[in-house]
Amino acid sequence: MSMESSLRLATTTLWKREMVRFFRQRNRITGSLMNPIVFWLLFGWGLSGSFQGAAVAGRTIGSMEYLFPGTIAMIILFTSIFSNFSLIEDRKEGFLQGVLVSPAPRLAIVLGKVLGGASVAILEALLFLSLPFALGLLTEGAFRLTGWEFLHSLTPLADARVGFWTFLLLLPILVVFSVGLTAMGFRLAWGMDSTAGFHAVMMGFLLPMWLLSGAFFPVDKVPAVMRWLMRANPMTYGVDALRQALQLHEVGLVTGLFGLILPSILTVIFAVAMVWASIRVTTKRSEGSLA
Amino acid sequence: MTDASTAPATPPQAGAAQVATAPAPTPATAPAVETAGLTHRYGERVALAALDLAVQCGEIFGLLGPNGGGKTTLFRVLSTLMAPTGGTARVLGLDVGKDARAIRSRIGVVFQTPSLDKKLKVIENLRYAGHLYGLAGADLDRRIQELLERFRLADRASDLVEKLSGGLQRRVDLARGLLHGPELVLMDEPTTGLDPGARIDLWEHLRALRAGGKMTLLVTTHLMEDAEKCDRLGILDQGKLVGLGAPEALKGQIGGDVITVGTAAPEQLRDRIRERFGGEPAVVDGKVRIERPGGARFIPELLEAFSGEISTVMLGKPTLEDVFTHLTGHRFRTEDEAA
Repeated sequence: MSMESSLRLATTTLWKREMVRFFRQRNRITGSLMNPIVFWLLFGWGLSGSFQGAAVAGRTIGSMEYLFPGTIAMIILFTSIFSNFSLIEDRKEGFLQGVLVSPAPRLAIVLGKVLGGASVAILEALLFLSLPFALGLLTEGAFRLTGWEFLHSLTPLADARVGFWTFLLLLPILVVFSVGLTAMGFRLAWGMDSTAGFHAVMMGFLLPMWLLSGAFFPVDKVPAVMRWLMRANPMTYGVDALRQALQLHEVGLVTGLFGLILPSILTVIFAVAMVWASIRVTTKRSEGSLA
Repeated sequence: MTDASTAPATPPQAGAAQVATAPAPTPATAPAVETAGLTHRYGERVALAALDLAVQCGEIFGLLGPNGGGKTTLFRVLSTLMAPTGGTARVLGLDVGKDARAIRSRIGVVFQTPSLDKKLKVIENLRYAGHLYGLAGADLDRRIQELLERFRLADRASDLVEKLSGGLQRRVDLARGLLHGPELVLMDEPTTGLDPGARIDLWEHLRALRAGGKMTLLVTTHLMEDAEKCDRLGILDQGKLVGLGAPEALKGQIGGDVITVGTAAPEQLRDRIRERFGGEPAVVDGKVRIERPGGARFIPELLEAFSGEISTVMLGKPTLEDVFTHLTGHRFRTEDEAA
């Protein structure tokens, strides 16, 4: 069997395994989708009074809307964390060692896991995007945000702004951002043999990274040190790309044409770098503990 | 994978060699496993000290040793999980450092903890594992069916692995390791966590495998009971091969019987027994241990000579544990006391 077909077969089967596992473990949906939603609703409503809305083009962006792209980022991040928890479990419980001694290319281990995790993340993000519509309880802005306003235009709250195109623009960004965050989780989780260690990484590194991504508060209204931290944070650009695609460029990092292109390019670079780092770490044969 | 006819005529180049070329065909007489001066260090600690070992094709070879003796390290090196820090190891005639990928497709590896996804069904586990070995379609289905029947798992095929008992999981894992028809199967402590019935059952399967063809089995164990069932044994202690041979031959090295004497002052008694009867009595674990033929006739003499000092006397045929003690001068520790 050629290298390519063995890579394809192994990647597909490892991806499929991720999907089967996901649909068999309902609690993962709670963890990675419901938690961010609750978070969004509580903070969005809670801050709605104190949030200084940005008035642009005759419209005020409220806290719910501001937090919306960041919530998508949080869903992706949490899904990445969950799927990489299972990487650690695979190592601890033995599944991974069986994969490592098989002739399957190491690349397939990375691709299967990262594409599997990213697929779940995209699926959940899409569920989240459809939520305001399904609930029918949110405002005009929320409809517009979700990219479903082409359906919403059937209602009396019709808004002329594009919906379907928003959605099309959003999808590639979701894919790239999901791949990047899942691969980052993979790189961090590889080599760890306890989920407790990954919990520490999650609380000490991943959550602060999310907080400093512009998901929660804008980059330009913070002290200088923090601003540089935020600008150095690759997640900032993923969140910004989502925000731009959702036509919230009024509160984006850069306005104009570059507003979408620049963060998108940086998000692609981030994803490529993370996948590369993951491939590199898996091809190194260990001299100490189990590879 | 590939055979010699598809191998390129040009000599393999570095980098591409591992992927594109077929390894040279192995002569039928080459050992299944061969190590020369194999050494592995974890920092300062030497786990394998210049090990020379050959496992012949078609045998069940046991690596017997206490935990921490080096057998897990050797297992990892042979299963291509870890590159050794010195010496060479060849598996099926291929170098573990250079030809890892070619080796992987020809060996089956069964770990101490089953390499199964417990959230998946038995059949899913086998199918996915088959895919990792490049098997697919009807061919894979046929092999899976064969193995399910051979291991009497056919009626459990659509059960989740987590619902199976330890013994059944082990059988599924063994089936997983055999899917691609490996020439050599490496098994790390295969009977760990199994009840006596499941142990006997597993050994029946292993012997059937060996009988079936030219398959070679290499089994690590710290259990004498398992070691007894191997064709040949290599005894590992502190990273060194201290004994090699069939279990019966190893036990034959000990002259006749083993007598163990309990006493309050073992060193003194040992010296006095040596003065009086000669031989090489030794103190092991606070007891005096004597190896000699005709133990039953010797004990009355011993008791007569030192009646006041002896509290207990035990007579036994030599076991592998005695062999280990004989070879290393210390007791076989099942706990990793060195760590």
